[in-house]
Amino acid sequence: DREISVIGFKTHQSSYDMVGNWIKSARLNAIKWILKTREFFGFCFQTAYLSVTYFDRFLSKRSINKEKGWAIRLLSVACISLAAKMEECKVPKLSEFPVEEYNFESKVIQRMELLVLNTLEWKMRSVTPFAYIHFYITKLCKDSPSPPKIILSR
Amino acid sequence: MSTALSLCGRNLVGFLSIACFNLADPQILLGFLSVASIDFLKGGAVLLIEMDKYKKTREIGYGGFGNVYQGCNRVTNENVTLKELWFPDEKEGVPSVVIKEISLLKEMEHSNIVRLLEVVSAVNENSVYLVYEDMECDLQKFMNDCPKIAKDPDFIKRFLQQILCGLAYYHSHNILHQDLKPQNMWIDRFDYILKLADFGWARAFGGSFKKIGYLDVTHWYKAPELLRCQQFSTPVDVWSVGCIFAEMVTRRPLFAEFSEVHQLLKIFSILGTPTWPEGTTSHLFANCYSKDLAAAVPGLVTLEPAGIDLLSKMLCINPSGRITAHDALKHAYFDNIEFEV
Repeated sequence: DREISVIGFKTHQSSYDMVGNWIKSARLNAIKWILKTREFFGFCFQTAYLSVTYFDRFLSKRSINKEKGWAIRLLSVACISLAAKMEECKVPKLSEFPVEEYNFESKVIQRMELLVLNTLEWKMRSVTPFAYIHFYITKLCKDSPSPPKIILSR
Repeated sequence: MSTALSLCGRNLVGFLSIACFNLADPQILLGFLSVASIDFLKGGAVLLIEMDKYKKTREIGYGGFGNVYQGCNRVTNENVTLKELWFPDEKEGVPSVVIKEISLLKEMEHSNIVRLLEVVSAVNENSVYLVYEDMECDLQKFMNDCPKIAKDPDFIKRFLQQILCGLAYYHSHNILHQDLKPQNMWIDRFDYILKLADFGWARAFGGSFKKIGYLDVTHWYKAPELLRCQQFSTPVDVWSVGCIFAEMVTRRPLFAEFSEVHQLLKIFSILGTPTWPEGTTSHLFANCYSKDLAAAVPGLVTLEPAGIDLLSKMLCINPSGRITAHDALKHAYFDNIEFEV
């Protein structure tokens, strides 16, 4: 939850119950799951961030039927798996993702990966704020002797 | 400190919300999502662009990641080149090399690089095919079929310039081609535009790629540091271009030996044997260039002095002393033609 509030997702919470906002809350849950999974595998934040951009880009091109929680979860798994493959040195097997109540076969996840790749036209290299954060933090902190490690480590 | 933190926070939110809910018409439901059963995903109704769209006409090459075919679009009859990439392990899904490679290729857009038209999934979904535009004639074939044009000094210059333009573009994106040879350079017979193809493994350096039994069709164009299995980088491509340059002029491969060891000996016999710093296995070659290239290769007499100079700079045995593609384009050899970048 700390991570979620730092990145600022909690601001959307008030819209949870609004009619027609199913997808918003589904997205929020997906992001929570992605952040939890990031922590679980020890991925870097960049990977989680990239997963969310894939997720959003996918949903901006294709829609998902209401109450298909499994489809959202499947999409989340595919997005974080693809992001991990772009960013991480060590990538878990598809079956190792903690999908909780769902049970996706590797073949199904691979199929979803392909659907995401095709939908995003295989354009998976994105420039994210993480590329600049270090630069800005050092700039902003140039008055103080050394920027706190806690910020840099994020 | 708090400024820094909240700024980061705002930035992130800002970036994240860009893509937020520009949802398509909710009525347009994905086929597979309208069916509750996940099994449906296996059924093939998912909107993947599939291989059915293309017909393989003949196999033109192979590598550790899959074969290369000539094919055509079933609807438009347009000829294409299809490069297959296998997924070796279902447990890992789409391999990260494939994702990294294709997302890089998708960004390549240059008039001297063959265009990647699209990526299609194989029907069994255990591989994808990269669909490239097809240009029917490669440099090898062109040199054989149209010897008069191909040996014209102005054409050689024009082709070399185009090769270097494409290569400089690859290198500026941190991509090594690693398999430059006349068979990988395509020529449009109408306007003599040359395009580099990458049906070997053009790859980002810094990536952790494994060559899984990839078979090099030829080592004739391999740089000495590659033959000696040393560290290598962009200079290996410039070496290959040098070999091709000489081949265009002399009409025969410059170094064409049957094994890699003989290949290396041949290179040294023509360019002079380098001396290595004692007791090191360093890739630094001392005294890298000692022989007169024009004297060592009689076929090069027809090449103008500026051309000989450029060629010897491209064939510098020491990779760190070799000219870069970018600098080669500025060489005096190209002074008397117009630049088209």
